[in-house]
Amino acid sequence: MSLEVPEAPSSLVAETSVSLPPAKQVAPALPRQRSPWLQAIPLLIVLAPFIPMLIMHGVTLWAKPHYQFFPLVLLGSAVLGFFACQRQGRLHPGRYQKTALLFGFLSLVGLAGGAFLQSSLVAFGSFLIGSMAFIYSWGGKQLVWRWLPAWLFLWLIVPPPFNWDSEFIWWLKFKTANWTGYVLDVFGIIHVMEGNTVVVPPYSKLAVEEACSGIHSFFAIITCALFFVFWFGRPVLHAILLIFGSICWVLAANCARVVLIAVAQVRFNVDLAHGLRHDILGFVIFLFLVLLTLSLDRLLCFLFNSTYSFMALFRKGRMVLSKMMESQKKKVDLGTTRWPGLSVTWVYAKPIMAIALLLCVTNFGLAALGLIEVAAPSDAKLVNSLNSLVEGSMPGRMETRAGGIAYQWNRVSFLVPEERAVDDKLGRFSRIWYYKNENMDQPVNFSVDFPFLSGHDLTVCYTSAGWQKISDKLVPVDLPNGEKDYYVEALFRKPDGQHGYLLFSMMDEYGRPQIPRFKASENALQNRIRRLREALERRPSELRYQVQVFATAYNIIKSNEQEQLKQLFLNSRTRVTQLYLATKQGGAQ
Amino acid sequence: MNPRRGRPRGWLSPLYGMLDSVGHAWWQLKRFCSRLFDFRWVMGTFGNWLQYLWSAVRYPFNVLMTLFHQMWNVMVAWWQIRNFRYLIQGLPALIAIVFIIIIACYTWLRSDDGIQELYVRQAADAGARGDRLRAQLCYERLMQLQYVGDPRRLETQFRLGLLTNELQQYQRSRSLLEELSNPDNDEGFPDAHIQRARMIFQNSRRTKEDLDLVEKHLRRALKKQAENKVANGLLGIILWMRGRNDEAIVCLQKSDPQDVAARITLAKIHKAQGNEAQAALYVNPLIDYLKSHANGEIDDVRYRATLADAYMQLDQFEDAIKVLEQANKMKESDFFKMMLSNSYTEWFKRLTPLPQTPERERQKLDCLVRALEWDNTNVAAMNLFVQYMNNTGNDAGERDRAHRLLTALRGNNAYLHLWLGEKLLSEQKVEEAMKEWDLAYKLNADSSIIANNFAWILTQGSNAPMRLTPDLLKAERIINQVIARTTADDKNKPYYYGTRGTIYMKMGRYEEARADLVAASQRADAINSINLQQQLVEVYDRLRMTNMADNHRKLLAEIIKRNARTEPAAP
Repeated sequence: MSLEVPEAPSSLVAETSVSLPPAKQVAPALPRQRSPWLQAIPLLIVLAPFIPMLIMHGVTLWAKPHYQFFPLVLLGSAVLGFFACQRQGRLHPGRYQKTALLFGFLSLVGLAGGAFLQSSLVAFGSFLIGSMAFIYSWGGKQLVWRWLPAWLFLWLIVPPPFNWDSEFIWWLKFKTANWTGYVLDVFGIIHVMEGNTVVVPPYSKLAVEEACSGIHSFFAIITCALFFVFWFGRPVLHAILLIFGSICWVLAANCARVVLIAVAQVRFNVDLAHGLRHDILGFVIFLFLVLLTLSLDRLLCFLFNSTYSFMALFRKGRMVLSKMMESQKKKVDLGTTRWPGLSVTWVYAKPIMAIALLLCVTNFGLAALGLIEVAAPSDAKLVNSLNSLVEGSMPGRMETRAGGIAYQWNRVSFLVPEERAVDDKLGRFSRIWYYKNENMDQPVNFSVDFPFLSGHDLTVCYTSAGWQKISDKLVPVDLPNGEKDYYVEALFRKPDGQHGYLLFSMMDEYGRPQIPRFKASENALQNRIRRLREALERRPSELRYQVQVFATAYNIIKSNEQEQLKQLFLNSRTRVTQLYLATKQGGAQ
Repeated sequence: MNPRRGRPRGWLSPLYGMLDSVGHAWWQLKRFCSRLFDFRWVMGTFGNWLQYLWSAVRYPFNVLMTLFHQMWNVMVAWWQIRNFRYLIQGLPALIAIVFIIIIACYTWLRSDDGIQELYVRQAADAGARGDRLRAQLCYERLMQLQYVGDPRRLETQFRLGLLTNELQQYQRSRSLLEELSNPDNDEGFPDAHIQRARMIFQNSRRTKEDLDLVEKHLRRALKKQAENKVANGLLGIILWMRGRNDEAIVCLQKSDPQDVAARITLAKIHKAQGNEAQAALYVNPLIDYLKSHANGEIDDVRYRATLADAYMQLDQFEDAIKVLEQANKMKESDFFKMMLSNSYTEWFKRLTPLPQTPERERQKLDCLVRALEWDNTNVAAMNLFVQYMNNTGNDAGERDRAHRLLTALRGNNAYLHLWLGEKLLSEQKVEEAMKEWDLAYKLNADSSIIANNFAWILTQGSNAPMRLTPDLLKAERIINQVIARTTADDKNKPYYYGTRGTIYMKMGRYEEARADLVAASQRADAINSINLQQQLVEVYDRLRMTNMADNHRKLLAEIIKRNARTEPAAP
């Protein structure tokens, strides 16, 4: 198939700066110029199929608190783009239109792939590639060069693949807690580190959470630093040093934040770990970080300029300085920017428009069917149903039997923790029942935590709470109805000698067990295909609730006891699921 | 004016010449003098010198000024190309970088030992202040700082184990200490082995297996600390108990000279070997030491108590009682009363195996009655009293008569009436028995033991069914009073709960009976109490809690089996 690229009509090419002497012959009649809005129609047609996926990407990003700054990135990119294209004189379309067309085509293919995989990440990546192809096609190298900062800035809202951001959050929390320990030692504050929890007298635990570890401010500060780099047009070395310095600032500030909280707690008995004080402290530190980043930028400017100016001074004397000064004052003014016509771009290619129209129909259709989530799934039903669980929802006494031995479990207490932050690793709500068996040292905790979006690896939470993971496996169980049941079984050990045994499952909003971690048995592609298949039957949702049993003991938890705990877990999970579904259906009726 | 302005002429010219020379000399002299005294030359010379000096002083400043001027020019140029402005704006970042570098270097270069020392000191301070949570935090941090092979880590773990025990974190404490006192390997900590050995020695029934285990622990401790006085003392006692006197002597000689039990054991061994002088050599300094301290420090009860203990170990009960009575006279306290009661009980125990004579029987009864008079909550004394009074055998009739005589002689003694009531009950004289119990209760209603036993006896009146219900109600009322007035830390409280559980069980109130019997299971000997386990089995059966009933049934079977194993076979 050959693709026809339209030639740029001569009427749309802007005038040359050198005016030629007027020709004697009569000028041919110019074709009638079309309205710019009409010219933009093909562009809109090509852009339209991206819209559902872009909205989906926005919704996905909004669900991650550390990416909620993304509107600022869009704004920053717009600002950079707007100022970059002022007074650029006449712009010429790119020379290699076929290459641009190829990239445009690839971006549409990427969009189709993204829609198939329901991956907004792939779709957004395709959008960025397509947009660069369009920029080149429209304004050539000059426009690419001017808009490159804005375009690069947009990449900030592309989350890293394979959940690297979550792993980075975990690493950052761990490092913050670790360094905090060292700094607290310097200040002579008595403390103990339990994972990413700092225990200070009088035995109060200060958990280094996402908010505390400054993961939110981390991304925001990096964005800020990049904006400075692009806005001021810093050289590459300067940019690298500034970004590196910003990362160091964030790490140091996180450490300082936790140290401040601990010192305030121990020395002045002031609680800065919760409530309004904690929020104010966070904002003050963030503001401080922004100022420090700006200050670092100036310091780098000073160092670079000083180096250059010294070198110049020793080489050629003061005159060079004067020239440098003059060159700084000088501005290149190429005149009013004159844009080429859109018809020169690849979006005008008919096959492209055809593909775009097809994708437009497909994507909007998928969005209408709910297969492309253009709105965050509502967790109200799930939360309301599970919030109705009370102490009496679980039996006061339960019996489990394994290896011919029966264990009697008596409910000893029930706990409803306070509502946590939306992005809390433990879920926003929890219901915890404690069961005691006389053969076990300590009461066993059975809890329901909700809501979660997509998978959640609970073992990481326990690891960050100071437990060392000994073993961990995903147990798939084939159910008689052909479905699969999954739960994770993990063994832990604490440095103080405690043993821990964890069983947990992630259940979807229909009460079906889902894989808590994709890595374990199916890869992301398999997961997407499965979800697509499920979606054809019912509207899919990433909403989850978590059911767990966690037992601790100072002796090794024997295999028989593990079997008993498994029984307890499965029985309790069934009970909770039944209650949840009954309440949900009752509410629906 | 210079006089030599013109040459003289004519024949008088030589004279003129001479005069002229003189005049010139005079003029020179005058000029010299005038110059000398007008100081102009001085000023001129000094001026030059000063000028040179000033130039020398000014020169560096000139140089500096020139440099400064040049620098100023550079700075102005910088300012004009914004450099200096950048520096000022970048100062906060520069200060922050310097601060972070200093903190990082200090943290990096600070020695780990210094931090450990800080935590050890803080733990000791917190321990001295009684701030156990803080001390625990310090030890936990030390455990993190000390690597696994660090010998100091064992001590930290031991201290943390003791501390968690004090903080009632028993499982954690057990886990920590058991790791340190594993008798099967040599990786433990001597103090942990000694503590474990002591615990087994004090709390076990001292069977052969128990003593083997104690010895194993002590030998582990001595392998690492051969001269440990405590371990040597305890091991010496164990060896003496097992009849290995020669080995015991070696160990006991290494014990602490103030370790009463060890020194007295050593003296006993020598005494048994007929070496009185050697025995006296060990025991007399100890007695003197204790006596001097007991007399010197009136408020310190430890020395008197230890002295009394030493006398008791040497079978000198009269001396022991004298010491304690004198101490109680000087400073009345429940502690001394308890010690006196125990002394009389011990005396009774020593008299029991001796051949029976009327005087000795009288002395034995006196011991028990005095023991109960000093401490009416002494369970051991009460048990011995009941056993002694219920003694059967060839001389049962004679003893009965003697006891009645004693009752008459000693008048209204609550314990005798309690015993008499029990005896009458066994003779089916219910009405008379009840009178005796009432009398005993009236005579000493404050005695929780009497009330408890009285209440318990009331529940046993199955041979008088018509009185069963009202008796149980009375028993319940009495035992409720007993429970209400005893404190939570009273060691006998589980027994009182046991009695109430029995009452409820007999009344058919099984749910309440279960709660009380579970509370009664807290007592130390519950695990060996057949009666209690039987009651628990029955209660759980009645409540249809079959699993629990089965568990206790198993436990009961184990107790019966264990007792059968430990008891000597019948001939």
